[in-house]
Amino acid sequence: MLQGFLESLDGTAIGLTVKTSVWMFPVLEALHFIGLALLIGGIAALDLRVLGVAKRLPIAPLHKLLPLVFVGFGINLITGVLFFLSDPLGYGVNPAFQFKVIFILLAGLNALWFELKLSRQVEEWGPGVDASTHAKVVCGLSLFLWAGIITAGRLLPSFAALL
Amino acid sequence: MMLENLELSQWVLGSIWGYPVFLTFHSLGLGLLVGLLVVIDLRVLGVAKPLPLSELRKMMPYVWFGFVLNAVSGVVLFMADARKDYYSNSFRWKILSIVVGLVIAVYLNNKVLRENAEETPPLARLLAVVSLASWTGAIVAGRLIAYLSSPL
Repeated sequence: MLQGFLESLDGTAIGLTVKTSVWMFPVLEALHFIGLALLIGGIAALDLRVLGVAKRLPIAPLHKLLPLVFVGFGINLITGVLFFLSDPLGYGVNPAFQFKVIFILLAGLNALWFELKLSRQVEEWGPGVDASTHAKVVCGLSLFLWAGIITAGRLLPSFAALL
Repeated sequence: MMLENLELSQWVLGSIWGYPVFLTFHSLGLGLLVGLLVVIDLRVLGVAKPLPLSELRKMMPYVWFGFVLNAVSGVVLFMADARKDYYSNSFRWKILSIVVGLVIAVYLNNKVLRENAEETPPLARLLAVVSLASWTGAIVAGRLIAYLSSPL
């Protein structure tokens, strides 16, 4: 089933353009790293504060940096899909890619959990106020998942070379 | 070149995992270093004003940690490929951008964040913009090393 799905995505016009163009891959990669910085920056600032770093920062305004995270994520989703379309069969069977996609989904669910269960409390976590243990677990998990996503992404070409 | 003949350099370049492992550290450090500096630069520019700059300053150890991670992994990656990097214009642009970004980060840390004004002075804002531009430049130039350097 996976194979059929991957084959159906192989050879699209946009995928072939990315694959054959000399400059598209380096430009998209540079954008992917800029997106990484925006995404991780917003996430790390919130997660670190919830975990107790710079405790006199109020958490609500850090939580409002979410648009920065979404801009970074949007850039990386678009550039990531373009990488994938340039070689769906190669990426699809690559264990580092599969691991990365699963971790991104987990990080998304984890962030959704924060929004649904914890975001109403952020106003209470003002300067010097300790966040709940619940929030610390969610934010610790977030940092772990994003570190795993970066690691998987960086090791992806090496796994591709092994296949 | 002697650097390339060191045992560590040979391992990094010759083994399957050496180079990607150090690239991974380099990307994790990038996230911390540039990511947190983006947040600080944006605050200097007036975004999220309820965040006191003097408190945001307490995130700086994590910025420096990211920098050290990248300096160490960067030196190892350079050693493995010293001639290619040394003669690469992209590499030279990258180092120049990093120096500019670092000088600004030190200035913001020692002066602007410490002064803790809600409205930052025009010079601080200008430097925040240059900081964002120089880290963007460092990322782009860094990525281009792999594509524009002539193989030796």
